[in-house]
Amino acid sequence: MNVFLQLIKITGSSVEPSLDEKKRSKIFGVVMGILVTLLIFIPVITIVGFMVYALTNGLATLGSRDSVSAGLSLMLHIVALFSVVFGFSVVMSVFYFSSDLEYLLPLPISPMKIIGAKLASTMITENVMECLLVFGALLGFMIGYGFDPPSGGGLNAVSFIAGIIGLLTFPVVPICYCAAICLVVMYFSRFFKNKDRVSRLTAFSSIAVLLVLVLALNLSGGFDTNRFVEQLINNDIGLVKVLDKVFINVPLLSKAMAGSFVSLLLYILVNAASVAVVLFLASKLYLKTVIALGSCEGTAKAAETEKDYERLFKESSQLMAYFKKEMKILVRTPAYVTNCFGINLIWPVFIYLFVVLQKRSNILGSYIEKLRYGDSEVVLYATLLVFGTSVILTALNCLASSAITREGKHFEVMKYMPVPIMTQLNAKALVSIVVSGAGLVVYIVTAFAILGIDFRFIIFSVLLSLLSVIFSTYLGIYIDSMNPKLIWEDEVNALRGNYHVFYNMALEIILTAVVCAASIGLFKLDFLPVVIIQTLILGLAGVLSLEFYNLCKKKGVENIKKIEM
Amino acid sequence: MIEFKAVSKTYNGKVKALDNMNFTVGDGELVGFIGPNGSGKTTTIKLLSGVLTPDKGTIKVNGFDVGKEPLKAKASIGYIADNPDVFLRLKGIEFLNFIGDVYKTPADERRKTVEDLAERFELAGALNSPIISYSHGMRQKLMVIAALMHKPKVWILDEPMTGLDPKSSFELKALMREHTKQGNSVFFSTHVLEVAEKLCDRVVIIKKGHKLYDGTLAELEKRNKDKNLEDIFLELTGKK
Ligand SMILES: Nc1ncnc2c1ncn2[C@@H]1O[C@H](COP(=O)(O)OP(=O)(O)O)[C@@H](O)[C@H]1O
Ligand SMILES: [Mg+2]
Repeated sequence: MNVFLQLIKITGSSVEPSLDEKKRSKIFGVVMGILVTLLIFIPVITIVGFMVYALTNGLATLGSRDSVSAGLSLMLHIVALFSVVFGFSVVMSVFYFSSDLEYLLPLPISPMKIIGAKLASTMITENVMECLLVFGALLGFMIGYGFDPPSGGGLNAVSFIAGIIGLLTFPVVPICYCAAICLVVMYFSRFFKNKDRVSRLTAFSSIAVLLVLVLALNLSGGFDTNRFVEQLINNDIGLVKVLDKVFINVPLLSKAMAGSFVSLLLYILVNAASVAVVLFLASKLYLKTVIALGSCEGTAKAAETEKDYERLFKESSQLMAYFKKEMKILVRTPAYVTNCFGINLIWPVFIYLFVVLQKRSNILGSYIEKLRYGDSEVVLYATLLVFGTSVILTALNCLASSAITREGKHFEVMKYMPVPIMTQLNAKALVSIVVSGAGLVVYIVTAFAILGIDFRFIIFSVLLSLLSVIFSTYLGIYIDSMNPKLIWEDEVNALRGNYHVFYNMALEIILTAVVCAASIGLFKLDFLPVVIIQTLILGLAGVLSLEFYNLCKKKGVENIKKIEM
Repeated sequence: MIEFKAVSKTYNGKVKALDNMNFTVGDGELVGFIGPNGSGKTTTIKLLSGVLTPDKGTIKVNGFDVGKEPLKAKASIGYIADNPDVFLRLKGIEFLNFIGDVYKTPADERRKTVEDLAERFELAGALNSPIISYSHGMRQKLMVIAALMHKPKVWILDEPMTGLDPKSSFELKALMREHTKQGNSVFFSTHVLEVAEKLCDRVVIIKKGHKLYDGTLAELEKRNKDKNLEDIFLELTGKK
């Protein structure tokens, strides 16, 4: 058991900041920690909690003890689905691409223990965000159920115990799914040449599955709360039925929350069983798959090399060379593909959901109509939406806020290459600007064009979006330059274990909130006409771009020069 | 030309890795840097390449002060770090091309060097595969090719023989000698005495951040007549 704990520490070590890092950024860390809590954690808990509360309340007045937890189940299913989709790349890289394997595998430790430890550390990493969602959902349920219980029900001791156990163990089943799929896929893909390709493919198919599932919600008729609650009571939603079978832990936990002791026992059993299955699979498959890994990746193609001398020895500028290098590494690293690029594909799904959800009331329709005719209030909202989305999306894909952290052990190369540090930062910025900007421009232009909005507003939006992406990018890079986390075992940890991603997000959210509040205030108080406010926002984005660029150029470069590994 | 003057370096304000270190490597000179593990070899070399900044002292490479004109100094260095595991996701040829762009080497020069050296190191067939699929020795050889593409005035290598097979090791030593013949400086660290003995014009011996000896090995042997080199080395570095 001692070995096991030690292993968890090793495999998870990259998640914790080192003692030195801790000291250097203590005050900063505390301040940011508070901000992060206020700005990200509390809203997340509140939103999720409220949704579950509303559903539970509806169910409690209409339904029976059996169906009252259907709302909770729905939310937990969504959380579980996301855990699988995002957990996949984490598990894959922790199991197969982590650099500690080189040292762990030769040791006389059974594969079961290695996987057990890796599984545990993955769950700990994954747990932070998930805990919030689960906590919000459970809390919402308890409030909704506790204050207004249906006949024959009500919170009891079992509910509270189930709540605590559920909070701690919820990721177990989803992560075990990821682990089992990983092990099996890797086993059968032993014969393929390129393991990276396999893992990338699988990651993308899991995103595709999510897309299909969302589409399968089939809310095209529009969302009507009453009908939805009715469907929930009668267990009449196809997707939920399927999910109840896939994540058996979810209905069990929900029923336990509603006070069923038997369900609680079954829930614990299911968790234990899923871990047992993964460990069993690991003992049979892991070593066979992991050992073949390094050697399989791409075999030399001697014949092609001859031609490639010509093709590849094309000169480019330092900036472009560095940019191409960054892009190649990003595109070829599964963890970066899903977390940095994949996220750009995920959030249109939310827009789709939003559009579908409001279809019945059709608020959006009237807004769009107003936007077409240039109603000044709606134009302002649209402007702020473009601004906020651009800033937050750039923060969300963390290309900027992990720009230096991603260098990891190669950080030295930044120092000995005869390339000015600022050129290197610009190349990194370019990556973020191109990826985030391209996505946004495509979305903005298509969406607004389809809606038939004035082309001048489209051009304005594109310009505003790009400027917002630019300043958000340089801010992210600057934050990362203050104290990059250069020691990590696998790429996922460069993103997940990296607090800068959160700090950056918090700052960008504050900034967006301030800009929105100020603009709306100015407008409502009739101080300024909309055109002027729009110009001001555009100007602000321009000024901030310049300011943050200069901040990187002066302070950022200095920070990097100071870092010694 | 390398000038290392009165350089001290401390890690985290505690570990004194180098203390008032002085040495020079002239043009056309091949100098070995010998010392036991942890004596400060890598620290010295990282200071030369600009990875670390000294607490005190001046470092000049090819006449450029590494602190004041870092880009010019770095552009005249070919640097091989002690760990060749960089950018493993790139293919060998892509890495070489990247380095070529970074050091602003004209395309035909890159081509010439790569064709010549890939042949000598028997690496040509692997250049189109990702570096992650290379063995340690292959990675090391790739780094050598990358470092020589821009014909650096100063070539710095940190423990370069580690992991090389006899033929590659032979080729690397020959390359180092050729490079000095063309009027360039070569400075490499090693803890293996035989390598230095056969190869170097001069050696610098270091222990715990202090320079112990600077001169030819022949002279060192002359001074300690009745002992062989290994004994002298062990004595100097205090292991005996
Ligand atoms: N990053 C570091 N932080 C703290 N101490 C270091 C670091 N790198 C090296 N040292 C210390 O500096 C001394 C010299 O190390 P190094 O230059 O790597 O030796 P060598 O290359 O000769 O084996 C050693 O005592 C080592 O422990
Ligand atoms: Mg060393």
